[in-house]
Amino acid sequence: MLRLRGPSLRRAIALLVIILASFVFMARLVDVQVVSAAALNDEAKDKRAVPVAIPSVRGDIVDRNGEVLATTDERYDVQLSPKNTKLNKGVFYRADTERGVGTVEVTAQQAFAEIGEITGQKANEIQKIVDDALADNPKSDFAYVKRSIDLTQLNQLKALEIPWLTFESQHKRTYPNGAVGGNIVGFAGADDVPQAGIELSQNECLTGVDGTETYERSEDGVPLPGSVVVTRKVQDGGTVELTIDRDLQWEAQQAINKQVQSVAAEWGLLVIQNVKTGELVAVAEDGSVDPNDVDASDPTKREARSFTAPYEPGSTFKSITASALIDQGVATPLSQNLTPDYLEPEEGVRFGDAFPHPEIPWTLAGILTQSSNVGTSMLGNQLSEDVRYDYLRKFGIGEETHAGMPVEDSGLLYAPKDWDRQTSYNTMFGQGLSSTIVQTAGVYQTIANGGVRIPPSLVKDCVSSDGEKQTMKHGKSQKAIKKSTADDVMAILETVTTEGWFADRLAIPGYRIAGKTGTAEQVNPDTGLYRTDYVHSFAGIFPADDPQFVAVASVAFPSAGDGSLASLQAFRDAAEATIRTFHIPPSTGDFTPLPTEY
Amino acid sequence: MSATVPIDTHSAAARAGAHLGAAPLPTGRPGERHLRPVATPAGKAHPKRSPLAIAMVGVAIILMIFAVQLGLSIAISQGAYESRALEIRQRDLSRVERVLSQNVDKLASPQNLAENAAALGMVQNSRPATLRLSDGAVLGALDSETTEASGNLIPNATLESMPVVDAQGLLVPRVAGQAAAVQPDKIDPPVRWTGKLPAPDTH
Repeated sequence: MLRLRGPSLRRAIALLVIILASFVFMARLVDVQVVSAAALNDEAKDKRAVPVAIPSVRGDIVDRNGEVLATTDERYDVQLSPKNTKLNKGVFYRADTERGVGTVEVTAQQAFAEIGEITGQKANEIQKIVDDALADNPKSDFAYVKRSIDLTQLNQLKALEIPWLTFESQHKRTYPNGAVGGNIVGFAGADDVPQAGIELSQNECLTGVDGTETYERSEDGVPLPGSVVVTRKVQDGGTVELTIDRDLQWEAQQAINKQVQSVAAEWGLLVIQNVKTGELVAVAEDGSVDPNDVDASDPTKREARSFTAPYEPGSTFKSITASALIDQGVATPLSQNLTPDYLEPEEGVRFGDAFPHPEIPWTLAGILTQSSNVGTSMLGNQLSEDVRYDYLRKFGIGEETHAGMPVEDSGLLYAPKDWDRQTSYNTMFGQGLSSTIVQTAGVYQTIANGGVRIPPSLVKDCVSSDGEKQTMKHGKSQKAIKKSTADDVMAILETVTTEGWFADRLAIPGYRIAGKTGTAEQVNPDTGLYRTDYVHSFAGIFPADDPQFVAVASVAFPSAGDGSLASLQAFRDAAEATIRTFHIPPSTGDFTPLPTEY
Repeated sequence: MSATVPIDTHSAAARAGAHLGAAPLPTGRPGERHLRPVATPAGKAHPKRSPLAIAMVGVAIILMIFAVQLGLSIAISQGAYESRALEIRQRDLSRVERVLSQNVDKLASPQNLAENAAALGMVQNSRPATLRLSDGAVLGALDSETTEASGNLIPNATLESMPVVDAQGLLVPRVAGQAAAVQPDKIDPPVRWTGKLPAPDTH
């Protein structure tokens, strides 16, 4: 047997101890690294790792030229730790800025006064916030001093170097152009929840995805190098591009506001649409909401009424009847009709013209120039109700557009079987049915565009934060009437503007304009009967030789002046502004008006 | 002849030599071992290494590694502080940039431009004339009609804190509510005689 003695024995024991210790360490290592690794990691993370939410920024809404209509502002909440204000007997020290060296002693009361001076609060108000929080919970570590301060105030507060004062940034929607396009852009309510307009309809595009990341923090709050782990990448919201032109929108709103005020009307609308693309470049309404200050606006005027408030269009729809007659080959612009001023075509159905006149030998062009209800119905009655209804539908009446607004009214257009006899005649001159002003603009866009209706659009596209562009669909273009019909109707409408009583009021030197007035009765929803005052409209196309834009102005229920003139003036202001904005060259060629009588 | 076997002394000696193995070779002086240390080559003195020195060198290397590692991690954490300071600076500057660009947006709003233009008495060329390049023709009248810049009727709450120019071109605080559209008092419309027609009366 091997017998160990002396140094050999000691060496062997030492080796054995080392081997045993190694096994113990090895076992522990495996335990820590493998067996209970996950649990330990979690435990450690909770102690050191700090999860941080990275809020995404809501996207901008911009006009056709990239001018910002809605953007996101950063505001700051001021918070304090009530229990820490009492630390060290309510005294803290900060660098002495006057001497440049050393520190000065500041009491909590002094600090409250300094904070209040910046936030506009009184020292005792802040003291009360602290006292209330501590009364509620003696260990309270959090209370708001003031929410939503701006950057200047934030920097002033930071300069106070108060250890128990902290700040948190938050996002707030702001609209640098105020009420310009406010009706379209919409607004957000509390906590930036979208409530109306594009903010609501394009919410999906505008909303981003919040990111999260964690980092391990050292004792003094600095992230440990290499410990930042992005658990979800932040993705900001996309940018919504509108077809609106900001400056033209302002001019249009100015124009309609001015006219509504000058005749003390109840409301006014003014829409400008591109003939070739269907894009709405201005959708103006009187008294539009300023999304920065929603409460200051009239609650009845906060919606985009151009899309949600249909009304009976009146004589502007005689163009549809004329289009149907010519397109069906039943009439030409020169079709003759001996027109009286009053008609009872059948039992219980009667209507008259707006002014008394003897029987006059008008052509179709003359009937529209004089806006004769009798003449329009006498000719239009040659078409069946179904045919006339089909044409109304082809022009987009009775169907909501897909321009991009969250809510829209389709207007009221009953099927022919539901028309009573009076309605059957009334629909020929734009009564007994209703349309939004955007739908009416669409009718004139169709005529101006050679008979092809391009659906009106308001939202061009959504550009995501990584640059991906998604174009919005608004529907397919459709041929409503033949090109030759459209040309004939254009000639009639230009005759209307050159031969009508208002020609001088409308004229823009150098530019040829085609258009039609409308003075429509409206049903009073309270009584169910027609009101005694009117909605005055003018729908026009310019330049008539090469149609580029359509504008429709409506001024409703004036109580101190001539609404027809007001709507003409609003149209003319809009047309002039559009010509300046888009640098439309003057018209070429002369127009010879069609004969109005035979 | 004796009974004993004569011994071949040579072979016996050889056997004995093989057995004992210690039989000195006949070369050299008797009693001298044939192995001896090799003489150290001249001029190449072997250093005298004590185990202590080796241990110290090893410890020194380890300490040096520690020192370098410490230095590196100090440098990294210094970098972390610097990068954090720079991140904060970048955040602060981007906040300033945001505020400034939003101020530009506000000042570029049509309301602000119109109010300032109106205050300065500017006029607008409402019907610009156009020069056609193809034939050099001037379209429209050269003595174009001008209109006064009309006062702004569209509210914008973001402009409240922004100054505006007066007629002398000096910056003055904006009059609160300047843009607030004032509706004229409603005048009750005269009651019309409606006649016998319930039908629309449109033209």
